[in-house]
Amino acid sequence: MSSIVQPERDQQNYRRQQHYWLAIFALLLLPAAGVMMLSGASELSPQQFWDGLFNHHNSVAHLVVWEIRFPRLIGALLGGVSLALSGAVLQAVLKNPLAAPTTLGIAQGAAFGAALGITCSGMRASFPNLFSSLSGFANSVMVSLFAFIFSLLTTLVIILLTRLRQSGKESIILAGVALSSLFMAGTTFLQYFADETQLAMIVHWTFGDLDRATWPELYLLGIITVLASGYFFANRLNYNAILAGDEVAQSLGVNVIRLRLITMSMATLTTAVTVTFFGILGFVGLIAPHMARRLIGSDNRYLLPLSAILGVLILICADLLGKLLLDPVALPAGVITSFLGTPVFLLLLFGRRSS
Amino acid sequence: MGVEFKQLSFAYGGQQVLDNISCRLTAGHIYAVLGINGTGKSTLIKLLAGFLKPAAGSVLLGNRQLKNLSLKQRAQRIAYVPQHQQISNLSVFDYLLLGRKPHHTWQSKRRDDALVGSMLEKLSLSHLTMRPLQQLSGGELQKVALARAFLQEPEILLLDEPTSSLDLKNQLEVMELISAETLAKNLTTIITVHDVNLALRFAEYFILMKDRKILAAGDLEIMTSEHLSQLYELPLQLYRQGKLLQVAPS
Repeated sequence: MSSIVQPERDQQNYRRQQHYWLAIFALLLLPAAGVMMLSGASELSPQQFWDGLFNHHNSVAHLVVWEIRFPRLIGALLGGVSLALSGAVLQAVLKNPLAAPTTLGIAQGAAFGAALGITCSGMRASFPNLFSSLSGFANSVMVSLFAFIFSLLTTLVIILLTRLRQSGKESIILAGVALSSLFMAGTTFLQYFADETQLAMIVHWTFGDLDRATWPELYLLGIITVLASGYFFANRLNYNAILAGDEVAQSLGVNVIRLRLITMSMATLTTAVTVTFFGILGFVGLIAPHMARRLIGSDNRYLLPLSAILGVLILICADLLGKLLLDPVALPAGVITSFLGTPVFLLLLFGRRSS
Repeated sequence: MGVEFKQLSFAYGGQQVLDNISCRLTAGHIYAVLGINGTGKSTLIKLLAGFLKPAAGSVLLGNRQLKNLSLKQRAQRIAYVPQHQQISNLSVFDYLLLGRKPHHTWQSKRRDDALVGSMLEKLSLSHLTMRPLQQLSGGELQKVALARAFLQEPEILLLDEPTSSLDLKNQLEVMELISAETLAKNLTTIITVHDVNLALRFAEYFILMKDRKILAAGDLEIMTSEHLSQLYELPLQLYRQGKLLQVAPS
């Protein structure tokens, strides 16, 4: 008789199957990235692209590849990973399938901050004394700064609420909804008093777009995303333990309250930075983990990596669709994710086979 | 490893739940905690598990204070199974692997897989290996939860109403599993139960709790008609049936 019993063999087969799923979707990233690199407003043949990538440092192709296409791809990568992972871990620690960056009001907080920043930069010319402390900043930096501060503020409020009511996990989502509508009201208020240029800028800011980030911003986002992803992945088994209940998790050695607090802080911080640099990319943080869960189950060892991969794929597809749909007009990716979001989400909720 | 609690008190808000109770439990036996609803049975279990901090008094595991142990050290010594299991679509095998968590740092090893595999065989649960938890029956779920606790290789097993939602056959099967593991691994097993007859059949020691205090604690000798009638505020009569003691309203 062999020393390996049947359950163990079943488990090994199951793990192999899970790894195949991960590998398949990871491989899908390559063609997706390739198509994304080769498509854009300026037509580049593969030959020109190749030259731009490695040679001809002062050609137009070089500029397009390194200053437009690459940042966009890296943006899709970082934005997809940070939003999808944030959604997945928020759903895990809050035990609520509705938890996501947008449902907690972080994105709306950022939008309000940006609107405020845009309004202030308009007022700066009229009241130079009032804004003297901010005179060192360019307008765009000030807008980002305000967006970041307000998304962080939302984060703080939510975390304070979690600390205040340690057991009230359901009320966190409701608090998120309340904060969202507060910030949306604030944004509307600012829009009402804004002039036409400002109004256009405020509205344009909320369209999440992958083209927006510059290299230094991407570096910053990259560092934060890597740190947060590392923390989330290191705690994958602790998230599994929480699936068995808070008390059981604690009896297994998990400091549930601390894990919930740090996870929420990390997830909301990465989201805040992502939204600040790209605008609102709705639904990615909600849909990617749900799709991954349908495909691969709730085990966070597989759920987290697959969510991240799907998040990137969704953003790349949204970006490409936005370019193709109304060609030559390029729709921002955020519009597409929001459009795709609703039907996909309803399908996930109501289209499940009865098992 | 034995367990001892000394002058233990606890209150939820202003509501006193346990008032200065003490008891000493030795390894290798099942202790049944009996009492009507709201007498602090579950609270006692949670204090022993370390989920709640006592207002006064202390809990000793062997010769070490519970409050001085880290969460991981506790997890290596104490396993806990709540009354109701939280279900998910985690597979039975992956759920059981959670029981090995206190014994590894980064991820589970081949040995953990092997232990889970043989536990499933031992408890005749192999056919459930890949089944998601949400598809299990009540009895299966309770056995799987026990298997998870056994895999933790604890010295102390805390079970809150392990049989409350099970049919008669599953009640006996679950209690037999607990009994066998307690004997085989020399565990200190503490269970809260409502079914006095089940307790009389499987437990060796009894802790009777009434009005925030311990009414009586000890072996079968304390299980008298008087004590039980006082405990449940109901005239009860003990009968001997073969080797077993049984209780019924008189």
